[in-house]
Amino acid sequence: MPLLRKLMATFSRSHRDAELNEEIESHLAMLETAHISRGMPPDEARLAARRDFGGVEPTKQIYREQRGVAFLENLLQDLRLSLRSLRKTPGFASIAIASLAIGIGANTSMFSVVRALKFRTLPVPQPEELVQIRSFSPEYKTFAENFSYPFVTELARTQAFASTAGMFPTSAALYADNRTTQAPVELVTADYFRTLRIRPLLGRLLGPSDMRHPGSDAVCVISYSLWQSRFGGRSDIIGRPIKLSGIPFRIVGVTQKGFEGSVLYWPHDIQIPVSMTAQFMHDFPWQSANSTFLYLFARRHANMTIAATDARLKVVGPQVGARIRNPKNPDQTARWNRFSVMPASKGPGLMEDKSMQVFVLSGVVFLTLLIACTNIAGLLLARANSQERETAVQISLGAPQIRIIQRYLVESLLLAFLGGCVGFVASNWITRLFTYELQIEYLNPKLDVGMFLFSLAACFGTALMFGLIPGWQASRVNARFVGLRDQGSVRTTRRQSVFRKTLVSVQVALATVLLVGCALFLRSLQNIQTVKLGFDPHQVLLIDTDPSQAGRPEANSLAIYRRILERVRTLPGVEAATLGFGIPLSGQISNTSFWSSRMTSAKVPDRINASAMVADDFFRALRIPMLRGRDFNAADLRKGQSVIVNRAFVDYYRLGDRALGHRFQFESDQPAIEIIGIVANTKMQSVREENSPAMFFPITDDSRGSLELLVRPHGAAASLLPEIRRAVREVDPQTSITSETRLDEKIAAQSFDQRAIASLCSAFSGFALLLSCMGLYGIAAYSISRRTQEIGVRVALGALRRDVAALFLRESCWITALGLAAGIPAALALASLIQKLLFGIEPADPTTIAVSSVVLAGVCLLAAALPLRKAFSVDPAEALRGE
Amino acid sequence: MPKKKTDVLQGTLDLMVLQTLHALGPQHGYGIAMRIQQISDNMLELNQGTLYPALLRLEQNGWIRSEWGNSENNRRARYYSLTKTGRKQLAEETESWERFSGIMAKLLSSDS
Repeated sequence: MPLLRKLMATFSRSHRDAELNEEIESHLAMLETAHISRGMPPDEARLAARRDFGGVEPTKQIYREQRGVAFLENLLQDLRLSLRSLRKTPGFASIAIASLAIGIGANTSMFSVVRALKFRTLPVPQPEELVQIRSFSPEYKTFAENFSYPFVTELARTQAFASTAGMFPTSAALYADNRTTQAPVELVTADYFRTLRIRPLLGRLLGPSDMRHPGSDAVCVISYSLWQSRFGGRSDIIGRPIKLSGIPFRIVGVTQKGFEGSVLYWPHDIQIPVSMTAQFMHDFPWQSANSTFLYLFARRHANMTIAATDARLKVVGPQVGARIRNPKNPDQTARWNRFSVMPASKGPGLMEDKSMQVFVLSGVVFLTLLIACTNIAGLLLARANSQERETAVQISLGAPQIRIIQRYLVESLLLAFLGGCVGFVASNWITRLFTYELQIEYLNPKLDVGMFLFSLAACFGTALMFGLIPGWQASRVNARFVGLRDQGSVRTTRRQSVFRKTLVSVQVALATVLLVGCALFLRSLQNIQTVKLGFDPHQVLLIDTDPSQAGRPEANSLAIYRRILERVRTLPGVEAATLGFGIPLSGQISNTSFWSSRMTSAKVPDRINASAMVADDFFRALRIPMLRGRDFNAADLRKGQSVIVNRAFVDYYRLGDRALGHRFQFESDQPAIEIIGIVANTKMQSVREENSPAMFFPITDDSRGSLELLVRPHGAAASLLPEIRRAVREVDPQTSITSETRLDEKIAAQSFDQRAIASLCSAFSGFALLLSCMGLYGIAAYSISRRTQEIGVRVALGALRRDVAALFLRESCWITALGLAAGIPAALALASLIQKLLFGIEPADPTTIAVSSVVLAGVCLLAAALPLRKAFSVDPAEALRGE
Repeated sequence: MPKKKTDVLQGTLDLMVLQTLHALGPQHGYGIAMRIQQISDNMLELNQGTLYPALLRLEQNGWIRSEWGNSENNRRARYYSLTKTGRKQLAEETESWERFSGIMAKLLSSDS
């Protein structure tokens, strides 16, 4: 094909040089032959030939320059012309550039965020060596992530790992500089820092020596960010005394910058030795083999693979379990004796796996990119068609084929370039929007260059393909057959027009998928926000105070809490007030576990139950209905031999009618506890949980630790706050309030993930819808503009506008319908993948699909009908006259 | 007295090439060079090599096109031919040349 060869030759310099060489050689040979035929001897002939020709090298040089310069000149001219023509059609240009920008920008920023989320690891050396240890119970088919302190220390002794660590996350009131704030705290075992292999910035880190005297000489290590933010980066930080939940500690070290605990997205600023657990957590028996409260992670030996480590653990794990076996309940170890390791470069996996959401978002963005590309394709094809006449003119004036193609190419590339620039800027903004919505600013995602280039390449490729093909086709048109006079008879091949319409259908299909997905997420969000909690959190205040500072013994804290409660109850604006720990959905988690055999004769699996410690009037304050029995009275609050359970508890343990008054013991050496009341089910720890068994214990004279004050006002919470503050101050001036939150706001914040996804999906669906509309508008506008004359004739002949409109809309209807027909099954298929993220709604929910389809169809038809308005506004007489 | 050789005036080489191709039909570089020399009775000082940049320029402007073919003695050579635009260009340039030379002649012959 001569065209292709020409194209190749243009871009292959050496090929052209070779051709020139050949031509010159041929010329010289002919000159030589001529001289020889006139009788010159061959060598002389050759010299004479060269003389006649003149300098070969200079010729070649001038030739090359000419070729180079000309190419550049042509290029500049094409650029200038392209810019001018783009400026003349601002609508086309802006839509094309916008589509490109959205596709490139959104994709790039999404991947930057994904990268920051996925690939970030703990800021420790060789994070890939970290593993988390879990045990599995084949009977209950669940994993346990928590182990007891004896297990951790015994496991460390087996040397199955290079080093082993246990960790328990909690929080404490940090008192320093006469101020109290909440701080997240990790209780850590001896080898915690050795396992992580991080270094101290100042001072030292915790080690085995700090665990030697449980309960005394308390030291702690703080993070760099806490040192800066809370202590102002002061240089005398080492050795500084502070109080954590009333217990005096000494700061002995500051960790390196960037380290914030052993779990990646859950910063903990302070590490304290596990030997302080008893003081910290209400005399919790932390050294007992029954207290499985520690998350267990380790650093495997560098020369052992994960598989080998896993195999080793499967051998030693049960052995350790047997060694520390609780003689009172030997079955326990048998039940949880399948151990496994998991890579844990982000730390022990406490956080909900965000990868599903990220997967969904990536899918959404890819779809948008696809739609953007099809949009560009359609636009370019339409434009090429409208320029066909101009091209035909150029051809008839003798422009070479290659120049015409070059022209189309330059324009397409110019568009892609402009789109890329805008996309680059846009991606910065979109990244900022993403990180704000997902609240991961601290991750500081950097623009993913790879993705930017990929999107850019995708769009460039599309622009190239759809700019080049029509260009090539147009340049082949035999100018004689193109009617240059009559606007209407510029030939569009039927194949071209079908292709363009198919493109728009594809766009509509993709937009359908996005729209359905978005609708599903929105409804899921709505469900989460309206789910029955089982209690009424509106306007309920949660007040955290810290009465245990200033060197007071713990016993007085409870007295102060009680006095505060008394005082607050006298305030006129208060409907009900109570104290509690582990208040439902407040973020404070409290659990109880015991052997089912102690509770009931029915054979049910052991489980961990949510629990809370509450004062009297708790259920009235939260408006939880009491189904049977009674609330705690003064006697209960002193002695603590009663408990209130919920309906799910009764059902699970099959207590039936015997529930009320049922007595049981947690351990055989402990006093019996009686169930004195049964309340309705409530959500306890997460909005998404199924109704689960829960136990409510009374706050007794022996209770230790921090409690939250819960207040339900008659009216608005805000107006009551100042009075509550005053009340607390009056009861005890040295007690400060460390946090004031509203329970309903806290709960709303927990549906954050759902909200983030829903809003991001809506944004992209909006984009997709916009792009599809633009596509449809473009097609409709094009076909209508070609037939303006026809419209004018019809109207002039008396046709109703309505009928003419129907005629033209029929085509758009078909396109939309086909798009929906393809899009809905695709949407269903993809929706089944995201089922886990949805709450209270099936992926194949018919209402959602129906509504989305109607919305999409409506918007598309509107877009298609818009050009008609313009056409109708043209004076029919003018239209008849033609151009 | 030997005739004086004239240098090729700038810009006229294009016209010469176009006219040659018009007269001879498709021709290769050597053929064009020979024809020009022949017609001018060898009076034209023509570096045959300078033809090639000129041919390239003419091709870039779309006035001629080229194709590889076989020459008389079965040698591979590049053949150039006029395009339609080239024909038009030839006519225009011939006209303006004749006009110009007419004016020059008048100017040079006037004594006052």
